[in-house]
Amino acid sequence: MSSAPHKKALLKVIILGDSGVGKTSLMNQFVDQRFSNQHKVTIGADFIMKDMLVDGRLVTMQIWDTAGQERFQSLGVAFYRGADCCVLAYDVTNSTSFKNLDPWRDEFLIQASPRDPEHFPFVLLGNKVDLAQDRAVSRKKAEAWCQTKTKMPYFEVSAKEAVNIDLAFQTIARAALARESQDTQDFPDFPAQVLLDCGNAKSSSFCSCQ
Amino acid sequence: MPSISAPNTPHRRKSQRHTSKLVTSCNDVSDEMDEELDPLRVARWRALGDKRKAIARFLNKHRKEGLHGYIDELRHFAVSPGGLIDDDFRAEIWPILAANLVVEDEDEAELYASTMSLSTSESDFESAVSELPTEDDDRNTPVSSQVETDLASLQEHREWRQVELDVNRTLARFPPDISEDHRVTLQDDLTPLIVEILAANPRFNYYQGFHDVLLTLLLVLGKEKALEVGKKLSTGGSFRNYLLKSLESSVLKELQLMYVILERCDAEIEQVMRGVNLGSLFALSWPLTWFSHSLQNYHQIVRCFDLFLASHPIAPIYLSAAVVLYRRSSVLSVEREMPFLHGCLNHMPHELPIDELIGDANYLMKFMPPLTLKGRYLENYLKLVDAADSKRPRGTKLPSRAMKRIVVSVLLIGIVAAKSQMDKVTKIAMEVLEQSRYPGTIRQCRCNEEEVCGKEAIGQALSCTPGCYYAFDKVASNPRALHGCIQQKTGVLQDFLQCVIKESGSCTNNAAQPQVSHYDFRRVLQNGVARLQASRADILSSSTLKSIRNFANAVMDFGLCVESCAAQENAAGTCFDRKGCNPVFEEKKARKGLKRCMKRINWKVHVGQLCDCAMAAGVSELNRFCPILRLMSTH
Repeated sequence: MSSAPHKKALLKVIILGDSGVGKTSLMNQFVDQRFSNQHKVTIGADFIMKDMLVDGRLVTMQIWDTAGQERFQSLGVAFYRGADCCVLAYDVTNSTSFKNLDPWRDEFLIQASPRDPEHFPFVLLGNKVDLAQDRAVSRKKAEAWCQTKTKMPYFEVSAKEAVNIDLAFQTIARAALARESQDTQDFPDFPAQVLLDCGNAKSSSFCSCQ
Repeated sequence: MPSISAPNTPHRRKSQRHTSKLVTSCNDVSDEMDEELDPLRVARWRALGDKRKAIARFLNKHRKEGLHGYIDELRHFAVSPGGLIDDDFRAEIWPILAANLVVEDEDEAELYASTMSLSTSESDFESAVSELPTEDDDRNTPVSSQVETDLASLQEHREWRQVELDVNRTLARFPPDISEDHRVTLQDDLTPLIVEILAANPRFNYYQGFHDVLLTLLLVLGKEKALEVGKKLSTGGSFRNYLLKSLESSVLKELQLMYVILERCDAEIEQVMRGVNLGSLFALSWPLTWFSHSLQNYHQIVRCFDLFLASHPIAPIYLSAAVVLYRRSSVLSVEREMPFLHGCLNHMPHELPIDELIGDANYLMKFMPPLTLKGRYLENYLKLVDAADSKRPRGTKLPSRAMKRIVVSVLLIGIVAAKSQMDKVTKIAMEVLEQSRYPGTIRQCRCNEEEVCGKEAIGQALSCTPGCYYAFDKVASNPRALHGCIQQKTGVLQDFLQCVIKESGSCTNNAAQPQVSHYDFRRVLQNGVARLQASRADILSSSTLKSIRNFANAVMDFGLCVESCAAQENAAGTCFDRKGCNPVFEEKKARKGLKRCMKRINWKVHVGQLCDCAMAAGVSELNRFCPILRLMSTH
């Protein structure tokens, strides 16, 4: 009982992307199955929790929505730590939001500095595919980008029309769960300087040195 | 739920203990007002009726002679229970309050700056000065004289798109009694209104939430007066700092004072919040938008604006503390984890006794005046936090300074190159240039001249570095190899420079060399050193660097050392002096050129390689960072 291999997992997911790409709407569509144009701009950060089944296992998703404006970017990093999956979102009708995916990913990697960063799960969502006539980034281009990023999974979604949302979040949850169960020491709670003091420790496990 | 009417009263301090099970979300968000309060409400309505008559009488009596002479009376109306009551009164009184904003006095600002730097700084370099120079510079920056009012030019403004995007998401903020048509008109007016205010000062950086403030003004005052009041608030009020400085060094610093108030009023709740490293992000929008973003009721919002227009600039911080104190029982019933506490406080209950809370805020402000709060109280609070921190066990000892240097050198190259920092860096560089201008002009350099001078500068910098990274000797098992890592990149650096010269349009190949501004590059170097010192705190406060704050400090040392060395080498005159020409610098072009060239030389790859090379030179500690940098360079 105490070892409880199937205790309910808490999966922390962060959604990042430019202002206006629809991060809040994606989250709301997934959690409440509805789209509203009444939601306000996100200032700071907010999260929603939702229970879901992943391959027969009950998990709780804690999804963090952060402000997209660059000025707020640095403030949200307090919430990056401990993430099990990072969702990058862009707007298929806005090519700048696609170009900015690299900086968002970099920022996450630097700030969260996950161990084994090559295998940290990212998922890319291209939102607003309902606006097909305004499309500015092709699926091919997005897929090519994902290929260069250790084959990041990619979904074309619409928060407004509820296209592919469940499928995408199933994948996100699965990736997060795999990450979470594989390593509980992902984001050891250290200030950066402690890590660097591990001077002569030969072991890569930096928490063992004194 | 009673409001606190006097902090520290026994009644409040002993209020409900929470022994029951903790929950993950707080329960007061859908609270109904207590029915028992009804007779009280009736009495309040009656009192408000009397106040309404009193304000009307007052305005009728003094309107003709001009209301500016009666600012104390108007402030009193605004701050006392019920506030200004009617939007008609507000439309008349807000512009007068805005023209006579309560200002923070100079002593206060100075004291605050010195307290902050003495107690929070981990660096030997931060000083009171570090908080002030931007402030002083701004005061001297003349507000753009040309008035950009035509729509087309406003649409060119760099923030137009972002503002428009945010204005589109204000639907939820309109009171229900506004017709669809009227709402659309207001939204159409809002974007140009905001951008016109931003355009008044080229150094204003729009932040999301500023649009909430202007929407409130627009709803109450209409277009013209909203513009007038908005301009006053952005140049003289609390929003000025938010528009000019980083959010870390403006609003988050203010919000720390909320903790100071909480600690003095209710140590238990402050401890719970600090214990989970809650921070202040849950309250971020409160001062940033004067509560207009998080409050759900229009009347509550305008009531807050009454208060803030008539009070000290940090009044929103007192109200923030009052809100947290009022919600104490909800907060204490939430599970003690950062996300849950954040989630609880981040959502404002629908029903809030706003008048009582404003009363509380006023009480707190009298009880702990801003001057004392920012001075002695803050100092004591920081000591207390420090003491608590030092009691916590530390896993390992601090790293050697030398170690910090190398890591930061590598990381910072990567980080500084990130887009946001780049804008900051070019901005500072342009300001330094402007300060070092000679009167008169000089001919523009030819591109080959500029290349020669550029190479000379790189050579100088390289010859200076050995004297500056003395510290590396102690950290790398093979320091010579480490030195080699950096020298290996000299070629890349030179390519980069050539690219920048070409892309930024700083030189000319035109036979007729135009006359351009004349700079004293020796002063540029000297001023650069001074400026770097001064903006140290601001740069380091960016949270990208916060997690490696100690390291970042060390890299600054390194940079300063190289720069002062270069300044000495050029004491007799720079290459440009000898050639008798100057390059041209234009901020936008320079920034664009820098970005383009960084992309072209594929800087991320080089940073990654530098990291790997340093690791191979025996800096084994980098083995966690290099993979991240390597990953960033995959394209």
